[in-house]
Amino acid sequence: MTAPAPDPSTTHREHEDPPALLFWPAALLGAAIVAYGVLRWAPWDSRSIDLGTYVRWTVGLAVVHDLVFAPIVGLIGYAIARLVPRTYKATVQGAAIVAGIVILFSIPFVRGWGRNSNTSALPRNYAEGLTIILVLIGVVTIGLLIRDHLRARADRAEEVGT
Amino acid sequence: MQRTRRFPSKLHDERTAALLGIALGVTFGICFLTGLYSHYQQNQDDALFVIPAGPVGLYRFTQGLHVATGIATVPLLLAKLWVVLPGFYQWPPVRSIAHAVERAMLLPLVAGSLFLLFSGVGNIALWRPWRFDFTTGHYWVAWVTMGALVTHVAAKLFVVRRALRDEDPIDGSPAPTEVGVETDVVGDEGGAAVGDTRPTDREPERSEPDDERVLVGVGDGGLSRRGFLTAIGAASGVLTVATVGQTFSPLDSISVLAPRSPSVGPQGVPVNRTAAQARVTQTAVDPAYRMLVTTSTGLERSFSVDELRQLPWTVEDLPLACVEGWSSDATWGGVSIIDLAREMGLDEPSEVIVRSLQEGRRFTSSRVNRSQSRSPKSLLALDLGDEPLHIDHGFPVRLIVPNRPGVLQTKWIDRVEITA
Repeated sequence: MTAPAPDPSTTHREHEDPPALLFWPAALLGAAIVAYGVLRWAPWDSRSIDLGTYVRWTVGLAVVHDLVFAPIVGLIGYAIARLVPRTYKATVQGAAIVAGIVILFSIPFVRGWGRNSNTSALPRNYAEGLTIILVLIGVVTIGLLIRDHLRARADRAEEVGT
Repeated sequence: MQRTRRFPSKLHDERTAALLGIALGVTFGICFLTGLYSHYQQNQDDALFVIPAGPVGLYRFTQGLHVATGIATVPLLLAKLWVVLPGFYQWPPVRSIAHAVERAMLLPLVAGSLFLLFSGVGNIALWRPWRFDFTTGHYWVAWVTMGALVTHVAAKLFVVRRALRDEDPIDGSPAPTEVGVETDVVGDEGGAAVGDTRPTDREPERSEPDDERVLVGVGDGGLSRRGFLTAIGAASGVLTVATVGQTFSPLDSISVLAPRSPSVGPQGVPVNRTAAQARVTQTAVDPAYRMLVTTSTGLERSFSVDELRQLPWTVEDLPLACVEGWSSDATWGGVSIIDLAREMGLDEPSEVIVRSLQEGRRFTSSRVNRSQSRSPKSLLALDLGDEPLHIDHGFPVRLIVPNRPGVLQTKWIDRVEITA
């Protein structure tokens, strides 16, 4: 298969509404389900939560993602894109993605925020576990970087040869 | 055009968003269905169906899958939100009524998805920095999210189809058509940037060759779409392997981030709520302990531990499966509910309620439905392995029923009410 030839008439897409017959019934149904969930939450919560708690952990979480987390990720990505040589860029980006997500996930475990008197809960040394994973990611990354290096050298040799 | 400079990566495109969207649709679907099952387990009213006693490991499987899928979804969701982020800043923000509705529904979708994964991970890490009740919030926000997802899928179905059709699936790099209209098709949240046409979409000040791979400066030479999706898949894989051993014991030794180990705990089985936490350390070992059994036929009789041990004895291998996604195999010994009912002079129990010494909180009693109470595998267990139950496992008597969440396997039982 080959990619279709670029044709300005089809490649430039003005905003296009979804098919109305599909969209509007689904939008109504979806909105009804959303309203159902929102309205049922508080009355069922045994701790009688207040509006602030609701908002903080739903809208607040999305705001923190979009305005804090995403820009930080963007800055890291920008730094990698600017600082890492082209040959190694893809590998470093991939390694940063995997390592970053694993670190993010493991924070509550490593910090032991949930530890309590129950010794069968959170029984592991999570800092050690995270270190092991990061070392493994590092080993794989080094292997890929060596591959990148050899490939780039082979490409250069080819260019010189021609 | 400005957007291209602000979001230079070539991965902010329709096809990447579509592929991640499909994956997320599958994982959220799995989590929703398994979550509904778990919710119904914990709120059984037999209205939809009577939960059966078999397959014995069904709940262990569905809840293990729920948590494992949720964990694997973390990288997918973060990737998806990153890919479609430019759409958040699109201008003008809305272009039609349908577009306004579609974008409005992104708030419950994005906030709900983040909430579900954040609260789910926090909950299994036993870290609950919020004031709401986890189970209730997680359940109702799941409805909110799924409602928003219904609208979102309807809005994006044709975009997904277009994205999957328009491009060579073999080639990992973006096709010229795609990148040229990058700002038009930033994916999820995005419509077209008005007035952008392909040539002006690029950065004219750059005099680079007309090649999509060097289209934009800082995105130059980085991950291809395939590479990006591989990295995200690898992150999901790493998180899965690092945690799934909490329910799939062959991987226990390499699941270095698992919140539980199936073999770590008193008598080699994990505990979710210890005797000390439940404040039964005194009452459970009271030498005067007797288990009171009442029947709907008006009979009443109490048993000491020794008397219970004189009754017909059943030994069963049944998993202990927690709502938090861990599970553990164990061999339990005790009196089956059927045998206890017969001892009370009943042919068959139709429903049983067990009550714990534990006071106060929810889940201090539970109901065994007519299907599960008639299973010969449903036990009032006194032994774990070859020993009497450890106090943290519910000494002197606990409930162990197949295909049932651990939270309903009531511990420290002192009352049993049998309905004929």
